[in-house]
Amino acid sequence: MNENHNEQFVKDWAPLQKEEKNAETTSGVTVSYWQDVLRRLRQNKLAIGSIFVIALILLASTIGPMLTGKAYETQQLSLRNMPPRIEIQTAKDGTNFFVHPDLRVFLAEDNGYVTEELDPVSANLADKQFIYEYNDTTYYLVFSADGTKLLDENLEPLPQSETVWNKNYLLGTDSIGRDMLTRLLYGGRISLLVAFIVTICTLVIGVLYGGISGYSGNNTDIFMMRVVEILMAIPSVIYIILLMVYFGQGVFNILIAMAITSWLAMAQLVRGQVLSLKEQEFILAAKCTGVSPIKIILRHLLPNSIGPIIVSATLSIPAAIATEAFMSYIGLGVKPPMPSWGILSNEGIGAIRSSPYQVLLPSIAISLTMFAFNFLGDGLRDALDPRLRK
Amino acid sequence: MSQQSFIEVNHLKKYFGGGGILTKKPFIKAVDDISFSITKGETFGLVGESGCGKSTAARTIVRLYNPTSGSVIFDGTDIAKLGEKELKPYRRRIQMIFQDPYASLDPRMTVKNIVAEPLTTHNICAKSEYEDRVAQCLRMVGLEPGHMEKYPHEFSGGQRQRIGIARALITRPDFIICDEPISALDVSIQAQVVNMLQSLQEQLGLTYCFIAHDLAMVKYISKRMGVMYVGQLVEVSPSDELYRAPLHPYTIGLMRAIPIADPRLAKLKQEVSIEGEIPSPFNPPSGCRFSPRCPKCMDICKEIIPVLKEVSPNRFVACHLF
Amino acid sequence: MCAKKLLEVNNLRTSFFTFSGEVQAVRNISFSLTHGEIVGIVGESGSGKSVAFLSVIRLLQDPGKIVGGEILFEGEDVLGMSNVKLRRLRNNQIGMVFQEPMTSLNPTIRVGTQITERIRAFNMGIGKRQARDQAEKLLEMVKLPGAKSHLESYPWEMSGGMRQRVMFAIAIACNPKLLIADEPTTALDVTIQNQILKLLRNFRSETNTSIILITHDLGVVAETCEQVIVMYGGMIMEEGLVDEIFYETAHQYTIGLKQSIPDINNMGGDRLFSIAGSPPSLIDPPKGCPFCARCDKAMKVCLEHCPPYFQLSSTHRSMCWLLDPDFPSHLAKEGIK
Repeated sequence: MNENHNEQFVKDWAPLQKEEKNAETTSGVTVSYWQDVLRRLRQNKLAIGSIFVIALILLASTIGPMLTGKAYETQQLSLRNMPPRIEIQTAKDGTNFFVHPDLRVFLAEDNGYVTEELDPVSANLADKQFIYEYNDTTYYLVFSADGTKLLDENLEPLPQSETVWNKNYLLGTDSIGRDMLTRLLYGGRISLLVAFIVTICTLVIGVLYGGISGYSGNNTDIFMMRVVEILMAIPSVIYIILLMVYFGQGVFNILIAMAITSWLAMAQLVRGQVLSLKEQEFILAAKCTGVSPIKIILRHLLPNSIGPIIVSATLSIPAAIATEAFMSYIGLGVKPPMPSWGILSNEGIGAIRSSPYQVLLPSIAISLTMFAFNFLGDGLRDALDPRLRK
Repeated sequence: MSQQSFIEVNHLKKYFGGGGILTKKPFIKAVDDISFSITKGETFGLVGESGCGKSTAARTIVRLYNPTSGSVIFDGTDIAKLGEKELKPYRRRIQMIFQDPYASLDPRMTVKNIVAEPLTTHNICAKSEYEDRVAQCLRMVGLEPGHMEKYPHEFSGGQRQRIGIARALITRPDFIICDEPISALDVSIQAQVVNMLQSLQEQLGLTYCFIAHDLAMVKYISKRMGVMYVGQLVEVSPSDELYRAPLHPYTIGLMRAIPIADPRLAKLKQEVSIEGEIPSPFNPPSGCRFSPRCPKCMDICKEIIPVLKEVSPNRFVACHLF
Repeated sequence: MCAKKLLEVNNLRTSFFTFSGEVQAVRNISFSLTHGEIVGIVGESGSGKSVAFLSVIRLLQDPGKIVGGEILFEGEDVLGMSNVKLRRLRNNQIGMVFQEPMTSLNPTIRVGTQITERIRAFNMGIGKRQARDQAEKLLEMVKLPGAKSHLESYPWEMSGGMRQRVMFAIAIACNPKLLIADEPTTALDVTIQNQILKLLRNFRSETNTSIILITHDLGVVAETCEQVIVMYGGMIMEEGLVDEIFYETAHQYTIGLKQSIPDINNMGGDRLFSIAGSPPSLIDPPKGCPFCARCDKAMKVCLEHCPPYFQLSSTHRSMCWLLDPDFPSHLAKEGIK
């Protein structure tokens, strides 16, 4: 750069015109705040994956129940406790049998679709065998220490046996014959609805309360925060339990109970944000201009605190899901037969040894959703942190 | 003063603290009885080191803080005692420019919205006119109106300060308090901003109160200057005379401490400097605040706080030597 | 004749690799320092002055990287040093004082402990008692009133000036050969600044330590420094003895800086001279002279080609096409002075 004396070039001594100088420029790439946030979020693979999972869950919950073709409350008692994967045994003459864990035998079609129950000819528990007659053939259902077996007339196991996916009910049925899939999807609807609405209430109440408290300062702030702290001294679950005992079960009731108690932490968070921003010069400039306090809070303080607020809201969704599930599990949440993941867990617990899928399915659903929102919340927190800005 | 003062500050005090339910918290006497006046179209400079209270004084005059006592008479009305509602029309006429160009603009608003906010607050004109007005102000401060839709972080420090000035100008104020407007800027940019402030003053007939700790700059831009020390005014004089013949021992020491950008002159400068630390406003010394560091301290200085009095035409000093 | 050089920097280039692109903070600077000199580095924000000296002691943080050049401390290559050697260099030979006294000291550790930590890092064998005594002596050396009691203070109990003295004490604890002070007085009041600068000058007289004083204040430079380097846009614009820089200024930027400062002796009311425009973007630095866009006397050659250094004396050089011997003499009447 400095050492090219040897390079011969013509030195043009003509003075430079002002336009050629381009002295007053602004920085090149215009990246707005949200563009930068999105870019950083995109780099976080886990967060992007979580967004997809959440989108899938939302989609499944919204339109899923309509697509399954079954209602969440219809019972088919004969097909109760059917697992998602069933074993179809085929006899010599091509008849397909399905042996239900409850010691009942069903007929099935070739593709695995179970049709009707076969009544036993003799069902004597003391004999440790049930006798069935079909198509002029006798079959024996023998149960012993090493399991239940269906044997043909020669007391031998049936030639073919295949484990297939349950064609009647994709995810099996519960203890009174209701379709697990539909109940799971519908339960998702309820759980997510409760979680979202409670979060919105948290946002609205918490932000306003915290904003006003933080901005007012002095005694108003001290008083408002003492109220919050006193309320927080008792775990919110206890408040919810008391309220639900009073209100009774129901979606609407659980919504109200949770909304009343969830805003406390958000209020504290927002108040902290507002306090730290309050003395910044652009707020002073707004005050100096004569902007009214409410407008300062809405126009200046809140948009600048939105980062931590969003993160907190995102992370409160899994907490709300868990709380609702817990309340429904202990019988103080949604009213049956309306399903929610908590209720499904409660109902499934009784059959945990014979039909573990009944409790596994809602548990997996809850866990997956909570993980997804947690990862998204973490990703958002990193993306919104101004210090990590490169 | 013969001329009618446009702004008159009388015995202004601002104390913080003192509250507390069970025990009384100590008072921080940030501003402890200052009085000065500014005539219309004049620039009054206020200087002092950290803790002297000049920023607090500025904010109290503008009613960002409420004065503990004293009056601020603006064009005949005492605005220190007005309620928020009655104060609002005055907020149009008094504006403030802040120190930190990185914190004085809302990072989430476009330049247009930032500069137009005073218009919305005071309902000055129709919404359709906002863009024109903003463009006019931006041009006045030397920025391209085309940059209106950009965000503050896309501008340099000097440019942001100019946006802050544009925001202060948009309501056509009469009086602007400049609270250290150039301290956070580079030297070459400082001169640009100061020149611009001066030409705006001529164009629009503005009155300034210019607060800074850079004595040379304040002396350059102001016709009269006040020197503050730990919440009190120790000397008020026309700038030239203040530099040429400072009266208060603190002012003398301050003038000598300014580094001179001239190596030969610097060597000739007396090696005497003020020793000691600046007292904190929590626990000011009794009597004259400068007495612990003053080379000419007398017994009376430690007991009685000297009052600002006129020792020669238009020159005021608060010192027992006079 | 040629005094052994303490520090030699050749063609140093440092860049920051950010999302928006490569910010070339330091674009090829070369200079040298001998024992006992006080050098002032003058520049505004974006000039690269702080980054250059962080590079010298290899304290750069990600995404900053030294991209090229050579740094020799007492003849040894700093860029190639192992971590052990580097630590010894920073402990024993070079001291650094930063700008913000508020954040340079650990607020949770007492001042005395922070000093003894430094002493024991450089002198492993020293006992606790001895280290403490040394710390007290250091505080007295930096004229901190009530040195002994301040050993027990926390940084937040002290004022800015006092903290800066503590920083200074930590930096000189190991009797360094070189002291780098990055804007040590910018955050301080004028009277305190005066005291700190006096301290620096006295320290140099007593110990013959070289001092690099980075600042944007020409007054500080005029009073304290013997040699001056003026930086702009990541490059050195002008370098020389303090008298040469102030009285025989050979670069338009330096002239502009000098004229931007209001002359406190000036009784008149004329306009302050100001340099138009803002510093250049370092992501896409101009290929010609960095100052071209803001220079009154810019010419077409300035836009196209970056000027080489022209020596005006054995100690004075400047990077400006106006100094080129080919520069037409009839235009030279507009002169530089």
